[in-house]
Amino acid sequence: MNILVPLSKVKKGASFIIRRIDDASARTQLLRFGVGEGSTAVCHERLPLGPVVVKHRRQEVALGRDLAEHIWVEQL
Amino acid sequence: MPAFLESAPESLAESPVVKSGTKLVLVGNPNVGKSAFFNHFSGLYVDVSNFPGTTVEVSHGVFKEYNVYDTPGIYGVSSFNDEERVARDTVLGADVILNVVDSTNLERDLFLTLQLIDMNFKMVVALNMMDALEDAGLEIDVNRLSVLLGVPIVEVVATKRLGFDAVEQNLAQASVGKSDRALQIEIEKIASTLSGVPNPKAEALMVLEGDDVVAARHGVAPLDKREEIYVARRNRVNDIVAEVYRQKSALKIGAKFSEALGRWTINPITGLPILLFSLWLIYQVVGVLVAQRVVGHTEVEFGNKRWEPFAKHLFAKITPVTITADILTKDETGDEKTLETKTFVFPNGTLANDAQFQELQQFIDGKDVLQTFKFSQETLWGKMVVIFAGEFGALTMTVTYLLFLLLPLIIGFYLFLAILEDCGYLPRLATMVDRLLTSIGLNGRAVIPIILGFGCVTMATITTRLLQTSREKTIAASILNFAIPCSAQLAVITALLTKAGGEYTLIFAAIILACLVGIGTAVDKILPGKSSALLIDLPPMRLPQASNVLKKTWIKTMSFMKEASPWFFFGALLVSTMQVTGLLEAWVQLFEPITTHWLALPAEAARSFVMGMVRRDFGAAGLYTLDLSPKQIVVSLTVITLFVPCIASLMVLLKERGLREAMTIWFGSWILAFTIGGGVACML
Repeated sequence: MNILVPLSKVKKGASFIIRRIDDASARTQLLRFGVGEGSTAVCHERLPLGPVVVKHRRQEVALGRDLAEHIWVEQL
Repeated sequence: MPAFLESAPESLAESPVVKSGTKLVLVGNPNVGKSAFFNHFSGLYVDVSNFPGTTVEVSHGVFKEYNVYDTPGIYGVSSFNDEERVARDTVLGADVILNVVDSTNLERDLFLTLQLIDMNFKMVVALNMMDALEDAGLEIDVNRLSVLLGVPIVEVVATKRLGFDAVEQNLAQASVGKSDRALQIEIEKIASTLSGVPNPKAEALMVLEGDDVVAARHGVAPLDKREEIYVARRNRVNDIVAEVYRQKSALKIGAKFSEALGRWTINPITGLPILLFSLWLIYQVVGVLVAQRVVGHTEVEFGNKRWEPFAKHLFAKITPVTITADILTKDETGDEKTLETKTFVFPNGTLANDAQFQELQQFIDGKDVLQTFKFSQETLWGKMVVIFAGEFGALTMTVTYLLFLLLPLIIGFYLFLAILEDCGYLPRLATMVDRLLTSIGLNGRAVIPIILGFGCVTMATITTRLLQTSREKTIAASILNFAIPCSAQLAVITALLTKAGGEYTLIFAAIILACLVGIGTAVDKILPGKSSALLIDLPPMRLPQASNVLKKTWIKTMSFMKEASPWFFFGALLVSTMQVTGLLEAWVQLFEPITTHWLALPAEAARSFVMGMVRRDFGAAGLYTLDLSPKQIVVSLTVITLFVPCIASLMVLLKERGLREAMTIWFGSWILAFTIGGGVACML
């Protein structure tokens, strides 16, 4: 089993697989954008103490820091 | 019959609904160019109405045998917010669906498409932005996609109006697509128990996906299968996308630039200058060009010199009145100066004394003139005249204010908002400032009402609707109505601060900023719960389409005027009544001691504060005529900025946030303004 880190800790430009989203509402909303548990994505942008922008194929999604702390990813 | 089916057509009753017409509903993700389709398919007549029980607008038009309905942009049919609830109910009543899809983002858009297919709607898919697809170096196997989805697919470039004819021809071939067999078996089980709706299978899917509103309408319990269905649907989307997309070549320059620009707008190092430039541009156009030049002209020339004398003369015919006419001239610098003044007294109204009325006409004929009317308030009729046509009259000041001052400003602001929205900048701006706003209990989305607040707090209070939770709406409404000066005030504040000097300007800015942060933080701490985190889709940056921007501006402006105007009239009636009954004067006197002792300001400043309740610039403008020291300027501006919102804002606040919250903010403003003002007076 690989180590999971919160999305908020992922460095800009790094790729990762989303393993767990600990927020039911965010989980369903993200599924509609095309990002779900098991998706591979890239950390497109990271603002100091602020949101993380995740890019999954052509789709960019901005996630508030609070939410990013509850999304667990496996870094590639 | 469910409530929405009874009430929806009624609210649209004024429009020429084709009785037997097919109900065609346009559905798509936000920013996929859906409005261009609606403009094409809605014909000449479009009506926009609030969906019953909500504040979301639904547009409707007629095209041949179709009744065409637009819906808000959504990522899926469900109930995450007001827009989705409205879209859901409009979709559920559809006969045929035209699903507009962004061809460059099938991973996202096909989720909604498959959901609509799962709902068993007859539909056509329009693959929009086929030109952008080429820039992205992508190719779609359209025939394969059509086979996989089981519905007709039309390639369209809506901005160039290419492919609309093909869409029209294909509407007749709209078909029910290929859904998941296992899901359909479950849907049928539930659908057989639902009746009285046009598409029971669609409602059954809503029940399966746990939509409690739809379930309650049918008197059944919502099921908890949403996540399971969503995951399966997501996998189907991914399989389809993998089969039809092909990366043909690398990104073209246009697409690369759009991507880079998108990145620059988010990163604070580049994003901050971009934001400052955008704000500067808005200020130059709306703040300088519209607010000073255009409004300066329309308010005086059309309002004060044409409309108001016209309305007042009607009343003056039979009301005792004294009319003072100032003949004006412009000097070399363009400032207006009084050349000649003459006063005419009509003890029984202008009709009763024709000779003198002719004299007045002759005196002002063909000249640049400003007339002041003083109606006698001895009789009840005279008092009524003052209420309707006096200084703050509902038929005089309110009309001038709404049409000649507010309307140009609102058009300017909505124009910029539409441009920023259509080019994809707003969600990125929201992302960049998210960190700042989370510290006061909001998230990045709140940047829109806050920026709009510097234009018109009334308009901004209406836009707090786009925030997700009631908690965030309360925080945003508090900040707006406590601490944000609107453009009407900003002009006077700027002028006064120029007099006071740079050091005092900084002190003033620091005080207001501290109050803004303090109020946000305090409300955030007091309210139970937690604000929602930012979760927002960043669409690609693209050049906005002029026709869409104009149409959006027009629709938003009209809807604001329709919604806010009655409150401006009501506010004017209230204040005029207070003026006539002497309540306004009593209020001024009540505040005189506090003003002179506690704030160390001249007694006349009390009048400015009370006038600020009517129109915020009235209050600030009154200060301009007083001879104040720099210290007094800072104190009085602090009070006037933190003081109660104008009467129209208060009315909108009452409507949006309810009696308790509006009153807390209103009375709280009194306390805050005088406490902070007094504190500043002591410390400076």
